[in-house]
Amino acid sequence: MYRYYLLIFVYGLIISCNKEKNITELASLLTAPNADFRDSLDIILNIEVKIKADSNFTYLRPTIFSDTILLAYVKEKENIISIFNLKTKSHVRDFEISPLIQNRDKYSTFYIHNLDSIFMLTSNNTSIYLLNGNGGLIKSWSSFDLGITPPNTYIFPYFLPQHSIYFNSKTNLVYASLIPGYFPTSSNFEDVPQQVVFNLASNIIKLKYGPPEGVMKMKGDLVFPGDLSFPYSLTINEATYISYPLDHFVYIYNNETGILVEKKAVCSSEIKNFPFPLPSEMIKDTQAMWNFRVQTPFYEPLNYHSKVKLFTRAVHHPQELKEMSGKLNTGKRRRTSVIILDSTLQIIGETFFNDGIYQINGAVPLSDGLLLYSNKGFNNNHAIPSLKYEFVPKIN
Amino acid sequence: MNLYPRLIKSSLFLLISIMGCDNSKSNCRYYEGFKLYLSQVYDLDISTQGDRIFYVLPLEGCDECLQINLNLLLERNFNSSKVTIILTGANFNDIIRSKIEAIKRKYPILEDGKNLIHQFETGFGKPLLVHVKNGDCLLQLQLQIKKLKVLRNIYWIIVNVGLRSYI
Repeated sequence: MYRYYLLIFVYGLIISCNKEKNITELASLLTAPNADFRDSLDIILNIEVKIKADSNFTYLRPTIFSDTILLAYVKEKENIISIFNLKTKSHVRDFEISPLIQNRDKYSTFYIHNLDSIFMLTSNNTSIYLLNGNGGLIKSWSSFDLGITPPNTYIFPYFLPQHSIYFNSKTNLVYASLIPGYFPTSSNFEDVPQQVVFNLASNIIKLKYGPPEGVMKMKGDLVFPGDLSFPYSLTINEATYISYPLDHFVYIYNNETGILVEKKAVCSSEIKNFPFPLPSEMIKDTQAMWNFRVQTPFYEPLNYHSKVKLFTRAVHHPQELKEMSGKLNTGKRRRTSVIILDSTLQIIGETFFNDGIYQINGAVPLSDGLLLYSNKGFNNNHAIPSLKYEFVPKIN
Repeated sequence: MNLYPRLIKSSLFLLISIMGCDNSKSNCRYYEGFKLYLSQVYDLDISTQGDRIFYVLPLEGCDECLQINLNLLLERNFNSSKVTIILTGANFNDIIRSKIEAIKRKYPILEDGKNLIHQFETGFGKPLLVHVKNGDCLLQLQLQIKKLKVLRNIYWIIVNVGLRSYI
């Protein structure tokens, strides 16, 4: 009996010590590490892209293909997608989404492989759809189709439009994030892979890899707001770059083997600390979670600009909860940095955007720059007001 | 046997259980923000109101969840002199729009098409029930679909009988 009590005591002590160690490690991960910084590149406004509006529609979730073709949902017509050409600055055509996709699946964003193979990502967090250029449904996948049971235990994070998949047509493989559904309130997901590679035709999962790292691993059952809790994924050839909204590091995996190859600190010269996550019971208090979201700095997804072989990572700076009027801060004046990185993720510049010019999730990567959606400086005669920024050497 | 007092008792027990389990949603922590919202957006001074219940209903997001709320409001006859529905955002689904029109004919409505409520610290995220009497907050409850079935009867009691007199 004595041995039994001793075993419980020792086990309790180990758990308690581990928790203490994790909290200490978490605190250090929330602080920006020293990163090498070579300030040689800037991003400047090149051109205002004005597409004349021929209707009063509001366009949502714009996505760009090959730097020129822009697809966007029409807010007022739930089943319509509009196509614009950025070069000719014109509305090309609209198409209707297949009625086979249930009405309740609100459209979130796209991954455009080509204009006849458009992956549609929706609020249905267990399914991905593939459409042809006329909106017809070619195929759909649910986590259940991929052999993951019981159903709905894993979700795709693509109800958040800042997340996306990648499709390699040569290998017929889809690279996606697939997150346990009990996340983020449970601490029992530390070892669960969050990335999946599956064959588009056979539905067979080739590889599962990428359990939470860094802050997300060490936070245990503490919580961040939902949309700041999912991993961002960027696949370029055999490398998949995983980053998190509240982690200074980028984790680079070999997506053939699933092995974490290296991690690199990619942080702003101004953002030194992230706030501590909240106790898990706070997740029920949506206002408290939103207040955290309003105030905290956080990173956007890592972008790759293929023509110039550069990466960018935007970070929104912290802000006060409320404005002078007592209203919550909407972020209209939020400061944002875009960190510019070379092909090895070495920091080679940082450009600051003030007064909310870089809106949250309001930019799309181009092969040689960024397209920022603007609600400033344009009138309502333009369908998708946007500003094209390009990389230039910094003049000190 | 008169089932009505038993229904009230059992429903209140359930309500108190829900409140007890999830205190963050049932208290009036964000009432000041709600008052500010009503005064700045609708020029409505809540302290001059008698016994009022505000039912804040988001029209965007999950259509299925919205339908459950709309059906509840259409099926049950809540006391329309006491209840004000605040509709936030916009919805372009034809079936839902027809239900919204029916609700507009049945209850007093305040419309917030631009989602201005998000600029205030009101505790709003899911449908929100705020019970106010002479400027005091009696109850602020965020409604979850899972609990709506339980809440159906509780609603009726809150709205038509009043909660405070039974606690």
